[in-house]
Amino acid sequence: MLIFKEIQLLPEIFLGISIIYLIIHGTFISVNNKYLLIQNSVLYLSVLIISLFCFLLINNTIECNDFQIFNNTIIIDYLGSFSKILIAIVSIFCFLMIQRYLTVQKINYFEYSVLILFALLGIFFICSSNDLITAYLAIELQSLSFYIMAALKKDSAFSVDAGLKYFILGAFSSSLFLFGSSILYGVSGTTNFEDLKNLFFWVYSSYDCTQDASDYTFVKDVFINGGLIQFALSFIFVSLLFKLAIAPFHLWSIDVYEGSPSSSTFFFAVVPKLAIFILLVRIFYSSFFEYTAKWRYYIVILAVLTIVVGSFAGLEQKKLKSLLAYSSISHMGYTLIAFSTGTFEGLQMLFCYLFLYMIAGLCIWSIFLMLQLKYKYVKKQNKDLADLSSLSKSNNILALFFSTVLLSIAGLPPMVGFLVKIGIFLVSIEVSMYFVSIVSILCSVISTFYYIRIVKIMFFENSTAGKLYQPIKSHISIVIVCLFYFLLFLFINPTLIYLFSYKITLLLTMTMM
Amino acid sequence: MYLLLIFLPLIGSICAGLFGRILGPFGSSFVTVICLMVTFCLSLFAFYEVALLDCCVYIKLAPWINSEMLNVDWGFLFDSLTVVMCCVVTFVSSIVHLYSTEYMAYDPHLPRFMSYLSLFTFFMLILVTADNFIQMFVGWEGVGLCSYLLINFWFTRIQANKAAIKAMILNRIGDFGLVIGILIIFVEYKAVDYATVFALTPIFTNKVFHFLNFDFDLISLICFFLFIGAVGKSAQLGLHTWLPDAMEGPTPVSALIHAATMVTAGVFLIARTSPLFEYTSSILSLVTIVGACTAFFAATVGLLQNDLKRVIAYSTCSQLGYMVFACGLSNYSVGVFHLVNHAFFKALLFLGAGSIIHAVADEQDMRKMGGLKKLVPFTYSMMVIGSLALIGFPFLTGFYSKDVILEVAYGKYTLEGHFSYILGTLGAFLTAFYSTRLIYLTFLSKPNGYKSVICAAYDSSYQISASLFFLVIPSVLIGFYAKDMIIGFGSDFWGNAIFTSIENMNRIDSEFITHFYKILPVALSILGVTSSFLLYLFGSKILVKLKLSTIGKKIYNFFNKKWFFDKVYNEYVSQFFFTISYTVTYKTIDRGIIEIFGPMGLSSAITKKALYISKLQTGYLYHYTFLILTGLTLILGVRQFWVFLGDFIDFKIFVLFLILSFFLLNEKPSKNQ
Repeated sequence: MLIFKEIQLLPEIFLGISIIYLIIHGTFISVNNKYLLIQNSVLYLSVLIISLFCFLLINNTIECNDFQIFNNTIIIDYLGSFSKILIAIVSIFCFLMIQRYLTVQKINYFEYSVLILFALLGIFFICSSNDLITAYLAIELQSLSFYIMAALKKDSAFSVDAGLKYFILGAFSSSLFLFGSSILYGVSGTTNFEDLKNLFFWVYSSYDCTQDASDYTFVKDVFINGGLIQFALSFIFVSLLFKLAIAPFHLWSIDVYEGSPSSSTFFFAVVPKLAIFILLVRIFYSSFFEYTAKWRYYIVILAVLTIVVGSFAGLEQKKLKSLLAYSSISHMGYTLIAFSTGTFEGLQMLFCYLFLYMIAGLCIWSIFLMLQLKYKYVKKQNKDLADLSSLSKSNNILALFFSTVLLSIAGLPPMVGFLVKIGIFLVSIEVSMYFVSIVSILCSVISTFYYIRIVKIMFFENSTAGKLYQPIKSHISIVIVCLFYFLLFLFINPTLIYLFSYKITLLLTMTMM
Repeated sequence: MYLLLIFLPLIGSICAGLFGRILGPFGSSFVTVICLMVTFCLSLFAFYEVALLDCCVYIKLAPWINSEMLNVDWGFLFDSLTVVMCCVVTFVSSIVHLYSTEYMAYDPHLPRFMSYLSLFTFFMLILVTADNFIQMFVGWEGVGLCSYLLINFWFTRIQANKAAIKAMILNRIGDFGLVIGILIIFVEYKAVDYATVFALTPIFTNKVFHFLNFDFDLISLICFFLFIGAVGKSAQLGLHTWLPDAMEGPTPVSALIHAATMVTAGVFLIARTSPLFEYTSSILSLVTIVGACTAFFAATVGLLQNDLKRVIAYSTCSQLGYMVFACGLSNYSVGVFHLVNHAFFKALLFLGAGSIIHAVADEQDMRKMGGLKKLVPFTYSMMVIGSLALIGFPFLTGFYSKDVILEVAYGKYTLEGHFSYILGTLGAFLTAFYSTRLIYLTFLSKPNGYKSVICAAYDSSYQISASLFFLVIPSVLIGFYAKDMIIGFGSDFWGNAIFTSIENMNRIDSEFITHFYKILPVALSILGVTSSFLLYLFGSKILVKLKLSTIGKKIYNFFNKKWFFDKVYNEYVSQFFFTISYTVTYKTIDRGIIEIFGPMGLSSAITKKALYISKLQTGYLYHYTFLILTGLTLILGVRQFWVFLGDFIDFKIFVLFLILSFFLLNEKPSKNQ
């Protein structure tokens, strides 16, 4: 059934089959009369599966070429495979970090790990989708798993609420995506990115404005002015922005992030953004690049709006989780600025920023999950900012790490966050978006306030009652230290991240030609 | 060797300043004095090599600012002008260092004092050796800073504080002009190093520069602003008021900074930029007139001052006027020659004055001295030599330069030339008069001080006497021996350091002026000495009567109050600025506008907006859905909107919306929410 070319998809196939085996394994064991708790063992098995997946991906070296398989619905290229490796590694770390949280919160369902694996499978497919339908199906696979992950803590009203909201709004946005896709299909007769690219590239370049023959009116109306196409694209765009929680469509994210269990929030915040951006790049940079000038403006406006909302609303948050949610919203705004430049450097900075966003997010959320007060009502999921008040006395190193990473994502100079942020501003200045960069720089200043406030609470707040934190297991602490030093290393040697993103962008633009 | 020449004082300064506590007063004095002595020897070598053997030395040390457009290097240029200045600076400075070790011996902060002195010397050397305007400006500001620190050395004295701040502020005005000059140079020449600027200047003549909506001749404008810098630093008329007040500092400081070196930086600047000044006759006339006025004005004021040091300070001011108008008459070499001579005898005068002040228990009022001739004979003889040199007594140092200045002024045969000749000659008379008055009141008249003070008066010890002695030698001899070399006709001493255009050169004319005008200044000087001496010896009653008459009182007040410059400045200028700066810049702008749009207002506005934005978080699904739909509709609408209006509307308008959104929706959130 598989022809040899399609062996390129082996990692995903392996992942899918493993998930099915894992379900069978878990079902058979857990319906024993003993009701074994196999949560942890399944979780480690998932780590193993993802590691093997990683191994398969790394073995399957894609350098400069790209393959389109399954009737061109799936593309295997360097961008996809590199991002998949990155996402896989990040999710391995996620698995390791959430383990204790799940134990403490008594989320004893082995399905949780399986759901994460399903979501990952969906994300991997998004990374390599080359067709609107593939993309839609992959997004749905990912989203459905996410809905369940959000609602999995059945005994918590917040969690159920979050799951429900996520589900309904997600379904809403999916419908928008489908609507846009169907219009596109109606106009062009295809849903394949490659075909769309060829179509618009050739139509656009062969159309001569001076000619006024009647044959051309249809072409002119539909393709050159592109009214209908842009109409459709707007729908697709909005639905994808919804997934990224860009400003007018961001409201679900705060509720969902706050309500769902922290382990799920960790996933929502860190893992899927890169995949969605890859899809955006594939649609807007390769298929519909000719329309760049037409969609740029409102992306810019949305980006600025997002940054403003993310920076301002964060000031009013009392809960650490929602603060981090707003922070992630504003970061998405910065990436959107890079996305809207439509230049080579902009694309490169987009990837740089996203990679760093994932790594820094990993750091922050890991530390966040590690922070557990010793004497506290266990079921309380959320942390007030004030809960951090004596962290520097209880666990000085952790407080130091936390504040360093916070300052890094705030973009203070001796951190790597500064380098990528200034990169974003530079590329936006390069395409003469001066006002945008000024506004976003000012908002960046404002958002620095709430990061620094956390640092202040950790180090300089005098609290009457001392708070003690649970000690961290040594293997977890090693992971955190490694992550932290990786961030430091990136500042000393930012070329690493720069070169990878350069290579990705170079190959991407080459295939666009 | 050349770098060592510059950096030795800095090393000395660092040693004494940072490790003075360890080294102690003796150690730090020793280190700084030795450093300065070695520097002086090195500058003598440099003088030999550069000036006598005609080998210009040009050192590029390191790049400083290296951008596409602006390239500034740390470079050092040693030509004749530089080495002459180096010799003068290091000589006077090492003498003053030596002198201070005794003069300040009982001050607990001697290491700090020595450190400041050395630091000053370092900056002065940077100033004179710089090869570009920016580095020169570093030295320029550095000496200003050290001057401030040294005037304010006894910082517990309110007068010293006031004087230091005054010096700083008035110098700032001048520096501002200098900066503008340098900026204009950069804007037009795209370079700030001397070599490029001077080489390009002939091309830029008649070029027009647009400044403050007026068109000016480029070179004139540059020179005008450079001259403002020189006016500030060299205490020319208008910005001179800081110099007499600066006498609040310790006397060695007055000798080093406010007589010999720093105040001559303005003259140095004019001489250094002579290739620019030569192309603008209008500014040269301005320089001449300002210089001549200063020379006359300061001499008149010096006539009726009672403070010993202020008399000498005004005399410095007056002599600086001579130098400046010599430069304005395109005889830069004569100006610099007078600068050199003046440095020696004025340092001598100041150090001698310090010795006197030391002798009479820190009394500075001349009316309370007198009769010191027998008590401090060595100082007396030194002061007499210094004063005679200042007066321009024949065959002493001052004679050779001052007379030449007045000769070339007359030999210019222009309006401003004659103007400066008349004022200068009158100034010479007045100089002789007040110098003699100083000598008479201090040494010759009957003792007027307290008995205890007069009885305890004694001549100073070795270091002070030695330094006075070392200064006397050049004060007597340097004019005679250096005259032919420095200002001798046809001497190639200056090489390319000083440029005089052919039409401005008038040394030959000045040789052929009428004999009467040649001899007149000397005659007037001697007349001044004699008349002053006789008046004070025999006619003191007439003087008192003259002073107490109504007109005499007014004249006395007028001169004694320094032509009311300070009064006008304080009551009209600074009062005006005080009011403006309090009501407008402080109250309205700083505490008002900036506070509202800045820290206070902005932070409260932002938190308010943050509240609004986070209030969107209602938790109701239909709100969220509604917002998503609205957003989508807006995006589609904007697209349509663009189709019609895209050509007319700039998307920058959204920035305006964003700013407006700060000020809209500012009603208070109701309490029950």
